[in-house]
Amino acid sequence: MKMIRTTVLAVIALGLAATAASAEAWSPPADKPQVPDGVAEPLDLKKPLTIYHIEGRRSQRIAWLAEELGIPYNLVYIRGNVPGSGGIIRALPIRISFAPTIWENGRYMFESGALVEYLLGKYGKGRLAPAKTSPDYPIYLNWLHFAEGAGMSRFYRDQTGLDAEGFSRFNIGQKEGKPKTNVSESMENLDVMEAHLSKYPYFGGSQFSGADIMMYWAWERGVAINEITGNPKSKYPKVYDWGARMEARPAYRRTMLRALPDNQPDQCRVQCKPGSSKPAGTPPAPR
Amino acid sequence: MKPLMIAIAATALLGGAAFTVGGASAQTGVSAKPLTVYLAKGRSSLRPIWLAEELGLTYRTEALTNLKTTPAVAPLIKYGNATMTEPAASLEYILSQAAPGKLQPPMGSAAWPDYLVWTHFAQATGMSRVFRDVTRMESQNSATYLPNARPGGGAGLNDTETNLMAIEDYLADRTYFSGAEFGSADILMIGFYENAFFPGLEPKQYARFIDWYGRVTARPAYKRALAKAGPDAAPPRAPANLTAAR
Repeated sequence: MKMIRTTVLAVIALGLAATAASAEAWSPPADKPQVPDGVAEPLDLKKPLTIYHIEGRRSQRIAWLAEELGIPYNLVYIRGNVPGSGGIIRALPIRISFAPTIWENGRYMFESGALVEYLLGKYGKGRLAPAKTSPDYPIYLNWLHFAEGAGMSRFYRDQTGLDAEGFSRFNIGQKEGKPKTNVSESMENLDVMEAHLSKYPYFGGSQFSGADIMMYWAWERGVAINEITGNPKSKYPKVYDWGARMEARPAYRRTMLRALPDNQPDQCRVQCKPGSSKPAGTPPAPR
Repeated sequence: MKPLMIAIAATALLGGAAFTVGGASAQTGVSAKPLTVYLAKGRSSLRPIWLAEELGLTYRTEALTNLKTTPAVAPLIKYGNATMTEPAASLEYILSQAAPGKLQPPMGSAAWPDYLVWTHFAQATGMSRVFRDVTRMESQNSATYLPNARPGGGAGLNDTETNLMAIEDYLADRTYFSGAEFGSADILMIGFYENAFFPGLEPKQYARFIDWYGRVTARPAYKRALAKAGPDAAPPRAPANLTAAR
């Protein structure tokens, strides 16, 4: 009897230990961000926010948000080394490895849209999001989610088909022939974006917002698909104008200088791969 | 595959069928402004209806005729003067206007960041990996496709199996995706659940997720919503390995 009881207790203890270990893997407490040597910037533990970053990835827009809000942040990545930067994130003691991942207030967190809502809620002081009573609020919310909802799901799926044919975002106009991939859903996305921007200056409605920051990623991919399929920019004048206004924002330019230092904002958008070395000051490629 | 099939089915259904507009099925209850849920989006329409049923909100359903857009960008709800297309945005908006603070943890609480993560994850990270795994599965023509796992530190990007493992970790500590209690993030996460179980996965490894799904779909408000949301909103047939696990 005693042996059985001991065994049962041992099994329960193991079960509890396993449970505790699993919960730890989801959200382990971390009193400071885990950062190895050899990263692009020195780590400053006084900064409230650390953004784990891969050049050319969605983490750029969390950095952009921090720039717009003036939140001091560490940007953790290895310059010109996309796999190495990913390795830093994979080495974190968390189950899911993505860029962006942030460390803030003693824990790690991921998911771009959630990070935008979280950081705006905690640091925004009402900026970059309309008041809940504003008629812009539902507009802002819809585009905030559209970015990675209908937006990227369709742009990404169509671009995957184009990539398989050899029509990449990075060789627009250089490949012979026309793509066969059906991109009608991407074009529909662009149609609704154009229709919205014909009525409002921003995806957040009347003012620049976190929804615009989220939409920039989808926008880049949408206009690339438009150009890959041979359409002129004049097909979507409001869409392209919005993008130009985003790229002219001082916070955007600061972000790109810091987060994609080898590819300056006015030198490349859809045509530059992160880490491809272009000396600063290289004139932009003709488009 | 499934969301594409649902989208195709919905489009086909709308293409030739003679829908009647209106079909008011008003529920008594609290509603600050009129709420209409459009039944053009298959299981997506279930979500705002479920939310309204949980809150006891008044709403009506309406089938859209002459749909000129695909379901992905078609209107999903109209609340007051606001028309919205995205499911998660629609739920966030209805809550903010008609039931602030309900079905979510308090802003700034320990559970709030995770509530935000799952609210976005369901359509964003979750479904984007599902789409990519579906594409790979179809290109491999495999009936036993296993999304390539990252066992705590290997190479490669995340995929559905990694996402499922993360969900199991999370549910070790919390009862719902919205925190200690059921909330709107749970309504959104059933979409990921219903698309995540690729044939090569072992359901026994995701017992907490399966248990969670059973709990939330047993709720009376869910069952009422299912009855109101139209034929497209029927739950998808479970994969064979999941049926066997139950």
